[in-house]
Amino acid sequence: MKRKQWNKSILLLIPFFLLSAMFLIVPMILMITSSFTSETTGAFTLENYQEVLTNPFYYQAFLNSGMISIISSVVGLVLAIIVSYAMTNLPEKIQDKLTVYINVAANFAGVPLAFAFIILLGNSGVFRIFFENLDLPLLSNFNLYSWQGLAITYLYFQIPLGILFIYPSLKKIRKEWKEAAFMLGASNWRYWRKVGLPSIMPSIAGTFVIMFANGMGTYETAYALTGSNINLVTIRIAALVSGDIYARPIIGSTLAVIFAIIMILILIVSQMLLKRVRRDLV
Amino acid sequence: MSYIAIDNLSLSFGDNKVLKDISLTIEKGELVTLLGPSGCGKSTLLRVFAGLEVFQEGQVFLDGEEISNVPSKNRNVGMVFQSYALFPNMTVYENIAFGLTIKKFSKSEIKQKVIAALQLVNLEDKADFYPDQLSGGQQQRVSLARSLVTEPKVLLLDEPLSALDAKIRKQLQIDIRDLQKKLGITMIFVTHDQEEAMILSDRVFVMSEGNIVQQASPAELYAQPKNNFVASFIGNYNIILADELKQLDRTFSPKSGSNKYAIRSETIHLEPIKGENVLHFQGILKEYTVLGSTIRCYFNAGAINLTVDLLNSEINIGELEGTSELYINKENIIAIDE
Amino acid sequence: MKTKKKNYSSYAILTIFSLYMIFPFVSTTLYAMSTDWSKTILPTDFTFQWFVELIQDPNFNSAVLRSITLTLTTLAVVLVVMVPTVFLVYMYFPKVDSFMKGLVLMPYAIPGVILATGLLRMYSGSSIPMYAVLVGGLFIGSLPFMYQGVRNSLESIQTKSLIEAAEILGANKLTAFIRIILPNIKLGLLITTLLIFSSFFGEFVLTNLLIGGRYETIRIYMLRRMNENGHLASAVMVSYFILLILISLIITYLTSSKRKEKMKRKAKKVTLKNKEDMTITPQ
Repeated sequence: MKRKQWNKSILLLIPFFLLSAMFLIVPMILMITSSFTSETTGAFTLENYQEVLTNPFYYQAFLNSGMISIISSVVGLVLAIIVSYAMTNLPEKIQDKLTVYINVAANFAGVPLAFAFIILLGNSGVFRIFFENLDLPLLSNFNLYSWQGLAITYLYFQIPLGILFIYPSLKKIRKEWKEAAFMLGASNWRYWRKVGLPSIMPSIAGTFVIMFANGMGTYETAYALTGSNINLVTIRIAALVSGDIYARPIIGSTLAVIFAIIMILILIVSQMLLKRVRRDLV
Repeated sequence: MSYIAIDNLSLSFGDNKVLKDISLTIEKGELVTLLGPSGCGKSTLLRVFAGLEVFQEGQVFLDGEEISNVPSKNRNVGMVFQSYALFPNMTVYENIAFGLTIKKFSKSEIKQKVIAALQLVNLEDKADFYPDQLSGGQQQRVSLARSLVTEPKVLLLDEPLSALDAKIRKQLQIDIRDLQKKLGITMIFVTHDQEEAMILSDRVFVMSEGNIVQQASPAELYAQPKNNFVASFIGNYNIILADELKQLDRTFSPKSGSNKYAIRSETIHLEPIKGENVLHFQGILKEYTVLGSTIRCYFNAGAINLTVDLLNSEINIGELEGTSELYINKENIIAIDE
Repeated sequence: MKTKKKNYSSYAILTIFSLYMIFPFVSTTLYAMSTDWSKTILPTDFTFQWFVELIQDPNFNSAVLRSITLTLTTLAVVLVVMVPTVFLVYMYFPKVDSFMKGLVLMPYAIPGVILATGLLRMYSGSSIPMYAVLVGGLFIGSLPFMYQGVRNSLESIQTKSLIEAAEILGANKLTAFIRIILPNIKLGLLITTLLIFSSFFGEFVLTNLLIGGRYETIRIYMLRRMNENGHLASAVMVSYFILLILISLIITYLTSSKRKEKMKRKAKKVTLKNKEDMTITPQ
């Protein structure tokens, strides 16, 4: 063909671009512009950012979210690696079945998860009664409705999420590599340090970022467990934009913009780091 | 005017020039091959005939009409893909009937034509099979039938046999040639296998880096490679400079303007050849390999390495490191371009 | 043997992990089937009373109905818009395609709460009904799954050469898409659809923030009942899980039947290969 012919079919992409514009791009732009407008006069201002960045209450929200996310993703990642590694040692058939159930478990979050944890670890939870009957004060200082409690609850969906990303990359480590390394006289430890670990390092780092971002963005589980009592970024934003008493949508937008910038920065930096890690390791 | 013609065609993908000012003509009923290493532009050129590539300069003619801007579906050409491209959701019968249903033939006509096409490729008993129940060779025959049943003006074949086992490939080469002669259909066949090109074609277009470097019949191509590239791509040629030939035998006088010469490995002999026009020199046997009916010997003659193919039963090649007398008829020393 | 020992520890690790994963499910189920479970380690009685009560609660039934309506409406929009879009982009607009690849990370960069903030900013108080906004927001949220799912299906059937073959045989793009591409990606599409169905069905963040109590879907109902009557709420959750597990079972069944069919055909092929004779006799 001498001319390009498919200019007509681009019309069929209009619904997609229209919907994306209406429900993603324009709302995001509006959110950004409104974070720069004054609540009272509607003029351009930086005072919203000034307020958010100087108010320790908001600062604390980011800190709490970050703490919960880091703890739940570090612990979750370690456990995910252990479980994934154990999985690769099983017969193929069992591995296939397990991945299906792990997929289900990764989706078990939010209201049902919160309630299940209340039954297990809440103020009259099964484990609490169990330990009380044994006269062990293991849980007497534990409060499910605190950020520690949230971190433990998050762990429940973080581990399966981690496995979903780590397990395939562990499977890619070829048995032949290991055998070749052993034939060349490498010890098991040396093999993992020189070959095994470097080859899964990028996916471990990438998985960590995804788990961290997932933790930061979690709203439903925290809301179901604590209502608006705990000070998290997502809870704060939700309360500011839709709360009945404290609704301050413009401040909510400002928080959301900062939040989005942080998330995007994390993703970009991690992508760059991953590229470097890969280069260094090769 | 020729049945198929391409005039001054240029095509690039971004900054990458894939086809450079190509012109060619093909006559009705010919089977031509586009031969070259991967990346030479041969498949892209084929896809231009099919209307699957956008090009920047030039014109394409088929059967007296310019088709440069005719979309694929209206060109009435057939195409066989390396990956077969059979429709997995349709049976063999439905695959072959697809083109006919698009052209709105009646049901009875379709049935008659499809059965005839199935007979042509010897697959009558596979009509109700799905493509993934067939072997690669069978799938490619279905693909052939599917393309032929609509009676296209030209059949394009894009490395159709590359994915098949050697034995099945050989058989299908013969089958395709027989079909083509029987139906008198014009075919353009793309391959990177010089042997396949030689077996199949009336004419071969040798391509390199987006240019057609030589077009000739297989026999001519073998006897008279035009340049270094063709000579080394087509067969076992020894490429030798004029000065080196002079060192071998002072009686050699170079043709005017030619500096490079190609000598086919089977035209060098160990027994004397009669006549005046013979180059005669000595060589040391360095190595040899038995290829079956022939032995491939590697001689050193001064600073020059020569490959020599000898019939296995013909002669005693002597010991390794032994010296032999070598003879070449001067007619077999072919002057080539740079 | 050294490897055997390793396997034992692998099984031990996975048993502990499975128990940990199953515990919340078990405790919720037990809670749903008892009337009193506060001072003891195991519930003191066993009953189906909450399930009966649930089925008789008109609010529950309408919540289920609402969730189903919302899910089906959104799914229809998603499928009608995205299947042709991903197809066209994959085939003809590689630049848009590489842009869309970036979409996959979007839910992590823009969590539901941020999307809801933007949507509220734009539409609260506008004449566009919030229900439509919710459908739009869910559409955006499903983009990554839809894009991945459809694109993988297209890649696995070598869409490009199939379309080329069909066009050379005289078909236009629409015919080729409907008669060849759609039938071949049907199963993959169904699996993607089921995955998105279960994620829409359990949606909470956007629904709660955009419409909240005014449109009580199953998750919002769940949350409300959780604060009133835990046992009843557990019964809702158990029913919800049974539905989810059914959906996953269907997905596994479909996935494995896809694989099985391929294997069956391959097995047949092996027997055929022995019989294969390659001659074509001109008539």
